Amino acid sequence: MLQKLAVNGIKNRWKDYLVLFSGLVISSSIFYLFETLSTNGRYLKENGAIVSIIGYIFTFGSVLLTLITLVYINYANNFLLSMRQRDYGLFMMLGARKGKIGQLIWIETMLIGFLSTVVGVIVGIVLSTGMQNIVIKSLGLTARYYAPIWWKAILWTFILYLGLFFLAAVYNTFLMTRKPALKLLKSQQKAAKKQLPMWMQFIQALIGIILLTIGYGVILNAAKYGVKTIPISLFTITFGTFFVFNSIVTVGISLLRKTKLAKKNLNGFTLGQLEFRIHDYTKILTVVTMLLALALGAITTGIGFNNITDKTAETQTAYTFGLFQPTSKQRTLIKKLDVERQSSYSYKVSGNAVYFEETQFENQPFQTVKFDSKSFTSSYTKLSIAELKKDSYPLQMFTESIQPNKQVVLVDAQKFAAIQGQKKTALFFRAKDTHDSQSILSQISNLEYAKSKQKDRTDAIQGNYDAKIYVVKPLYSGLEFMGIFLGIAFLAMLASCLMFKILSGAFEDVRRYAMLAKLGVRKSLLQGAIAKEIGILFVLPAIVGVVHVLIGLNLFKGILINPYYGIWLPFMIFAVLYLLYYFIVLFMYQRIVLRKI
Amino acid sequence: MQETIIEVNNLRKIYGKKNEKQYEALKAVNFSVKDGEFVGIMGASGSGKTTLLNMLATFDRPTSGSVKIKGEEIAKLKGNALADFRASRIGFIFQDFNLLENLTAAENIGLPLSLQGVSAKKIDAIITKVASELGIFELLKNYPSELSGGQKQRVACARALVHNPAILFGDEPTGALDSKSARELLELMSEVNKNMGTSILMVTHDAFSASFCKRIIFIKDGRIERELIREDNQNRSNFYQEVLDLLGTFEQ
Ligand SMILES: Nc1ncnc2c1ncn2[C@@H]1O[C@H](COP(=O)(O)OP(=O)(O)O)[C@@H](O)[C@H]1O
Ligand SMILES: [Mg+2]
Repeated sequence: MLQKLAVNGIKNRWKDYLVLFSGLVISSSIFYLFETLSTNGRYLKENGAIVSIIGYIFTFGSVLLTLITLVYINYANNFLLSMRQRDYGLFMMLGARKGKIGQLIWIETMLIGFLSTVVGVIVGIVLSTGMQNIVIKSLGLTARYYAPIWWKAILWTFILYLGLFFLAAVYNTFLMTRKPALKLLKSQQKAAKKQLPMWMQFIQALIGIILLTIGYGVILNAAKYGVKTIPISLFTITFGTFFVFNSIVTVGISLLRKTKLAKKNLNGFTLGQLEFRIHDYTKILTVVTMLLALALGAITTGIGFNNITDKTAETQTAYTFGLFQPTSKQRTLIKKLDVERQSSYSYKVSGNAVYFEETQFENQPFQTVKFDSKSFTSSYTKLSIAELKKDSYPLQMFTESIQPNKQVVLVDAQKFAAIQGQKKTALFFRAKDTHDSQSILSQISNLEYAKSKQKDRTDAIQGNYDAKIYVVKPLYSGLEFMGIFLGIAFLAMLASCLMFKILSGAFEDVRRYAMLAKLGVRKSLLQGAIAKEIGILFVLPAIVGVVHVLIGLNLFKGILINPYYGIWLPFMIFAVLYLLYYFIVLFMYQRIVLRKI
Repeated sequence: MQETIIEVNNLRKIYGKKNEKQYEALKAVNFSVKDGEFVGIMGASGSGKTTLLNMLATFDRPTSGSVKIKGEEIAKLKGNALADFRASRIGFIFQDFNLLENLTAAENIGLPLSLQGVSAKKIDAIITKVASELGIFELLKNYPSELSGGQKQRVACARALVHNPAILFGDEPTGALDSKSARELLELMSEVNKNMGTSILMVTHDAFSASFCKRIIFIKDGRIERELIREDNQNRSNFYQEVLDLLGTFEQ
């Protein structure tokens, strides 16, 4: 009988359960996504070769994500409890035995945990397969040894989630069997918690700021702290953020509440709502801030690796290609490109040397490239004949492709004419490396590789294009994939966190807003109040999170040369997505809360 | 001649859409309330009291007929005009208080004024005045969860009166209170009616509450059955007896 009643309770609140369940599924699927990277040692090793501490970073990433999951499940469980306390309290009033109630809540919690984890892992597998395909295809990346179905990830996800749900179930059982029935029944009429005294708030704010300063300081001097940088900064920044929110936001709201502004329209109500929920809010603000910083940071560095790929390739030589005896097919292909510079030289091969005619270098000077790491731009300098004679390596780099181990010699016209051998043509050109020109460049490259005497394509370097495709990209694309993959994963977690928090409050708010409507509040004012209340949840983490990212990017100074180069792009993309998401959540919230008004 | 506050003509309410099962909760109701009156509406559970009150208070729309409050046809009001009408003309006390638990008593009371753009200073002054009159000045800083049922209902009463509404509605305002708090609230409402001159229309199913009114309208199955008026010199317990007697004949 009691079982039937309990199941009935679930049926009646299927919408709430849907919110709960989908939130948990998203959370566990993202955790799974992360673990597919984090527990795949081979993948990390192969793709993160240039970041020696990559495995280390991931370990702490896992710790942070576990912390976030902890907060998340704590939320989910509170949400579940708030739904069920009344029902179970009622059953007790009707004479149900406590043991039976305890058993029911235990089973319910575990069942929800188990089902959502199973579904979460399945969703996680689908997501990671999809992400692998999309990210790899759209960015032309390769992620060697990445496996979307990874048993270690499955195992860890189950261990963490079932473990946490087990704890939650024990806690719930304890709570339900200890609390008097009457308290359970009245649990919905929560009182606002009393605030800490001012001096405590002040100390909290101080601790928060000190922790943040330490965290930022460690990041800015990462070289000094080495492998300790990540654990120290993660710890101090996470807790620093929490203390700052917990004190400054709390005090700010209660101060605002005493001003005249609070007596205008619904401001008082909105502030009351915020203060009423502030204890929940400071936790969620912290989690959202950290997730936002991680997501934005990951995407920014991912795109940073993309930038550095192009830049590094660009700085190998001054030319996209050096072609020897270009075929007519290659020449027609070049005509389709946006060529910035092109020079053609005659050469002869004799004995152990490749001879060039020096006067041709007078008319069309050979160039080398220089990279300015500050402005992140390449500049080209013309080499004089004397310079080239002294060090012919810039030219020899190219000739290695067809004449391995032969030196390059520049001679005057007379001598050149006298040298025995067929007169051949070398064509050097620099073309814009655009997205559309990729297939043309690759065709030219393949034709040239066919002529080359080098077997290994990385040795058959004929210019920047090949350097990019066969040397630089393999080095960075694993990291780029990692960055963008994690960025999207954290973003999804952030989205689900906000959605979960906000929607779980929405059902409580239906009554409050209905009440306000009965008092004669205009609909536009109600909508405005909701927009403000949700806006706070979006704006505060955005500000603090962006500061975290701007400081945190310093960590990548070593690898990315200038981690701030071009960050406007990921920041813009992020801002647009974030804003869009705000409007989606706002719309959903208003639909739930104001439906009947 | 007193001004008419509420005028109800041929008011009908049918629940349920055309294709569903329909139920006629109100059948051609006619009555009016004059300025300064304290009117009770009595009837058994399910007789249509709440239905009637919800339509008068603009919370629900009639199927047909008209309701005028201070000469204004409320069925025509929509959107902002409707909201503004509620905010400025109507006060309502609910059986379950309907206080906002995230606001203090003072903030709850001041809300209708904030909505009308009254200055912060004036709001404070008015809250203080109303709260003193209703004997809840000491409770202003408390949250609803820290108040007893009777105290909550006093705060709700203050909120309903703070903007000087044309009429105060109450749907079984004593329904959730113990007898002592109920009596106190009813006495308070009588005082408000007498001293502030506020018109009150209160729904109740219990004779004791009804005995505080000056006039009682009895409804049964969606129709007005009778009216009972308390004579000027009639005392309350006498009137109470009269109500009980009438209810007795009703039941047979
Ligand atoms: N929303 C509704 N839909 C259908 N029937 C309703 C609705 N509200 C009330 N009723 C019916 O109308 C009748 C009068 O209800 P109500 O006005 O609440 O009575 P009272 O307040 O006098 O107890 C009852 O029979 C009730 O079942
Ligand atoms: Mg009723």
